[in-house]
Amino acid sequence: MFDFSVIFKLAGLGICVAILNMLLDSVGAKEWKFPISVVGVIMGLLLILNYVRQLFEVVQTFSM
Amino acid sequence: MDILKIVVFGLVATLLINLVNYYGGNAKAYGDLIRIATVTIFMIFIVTQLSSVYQVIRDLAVKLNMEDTYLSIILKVVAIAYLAEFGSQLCEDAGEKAIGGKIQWAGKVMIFVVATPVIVALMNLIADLI
Repeated sequence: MFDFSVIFKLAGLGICVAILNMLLDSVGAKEWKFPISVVGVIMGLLLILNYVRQLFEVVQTFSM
Repeated sequence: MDILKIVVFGLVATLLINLVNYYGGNAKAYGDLIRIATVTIFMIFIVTQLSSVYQVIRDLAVKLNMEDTYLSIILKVVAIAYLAEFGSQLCEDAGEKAIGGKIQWAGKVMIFVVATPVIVALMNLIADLI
């Protein structure tokens, strides 16, 4: 039940986006920083989506 | 020993959040995402434990052929309270105190709405007594 993989994935995602932003700074393509971080956040949210849905399912059965 | 897993999971998540917030620079949103994921997983675990307890209570109620309406109202109120607290604490942790407070308030109002039949029944009971 306790899968640690989700939080490691999210942490990795966060670090990768941070590194990417730094790379983009050094390369000088500043305009690409925003889209990449938006895509990263969306990927993180998709990861979390299943757990929130699972939580609401369990609460539904709970209060039936 | 589930409690050991819970504690370890919480600690690992806290460390990861601090890691991301420290090195994140401008990718700080991922700390919040990790917090949301961790709290959701904890809630799933807690509510599954609780729902087994509530099955026992419901079976008991059926055995005692107690009226089911009030029991389901109580369960609904508890479910609303859990989710409202879940949402409001997450918002406050992410730095949005106002939103957290509003969710808490909305939860209270919804509990009041769900509990109105009980209050009406109580008033009728009192009226009959007097």
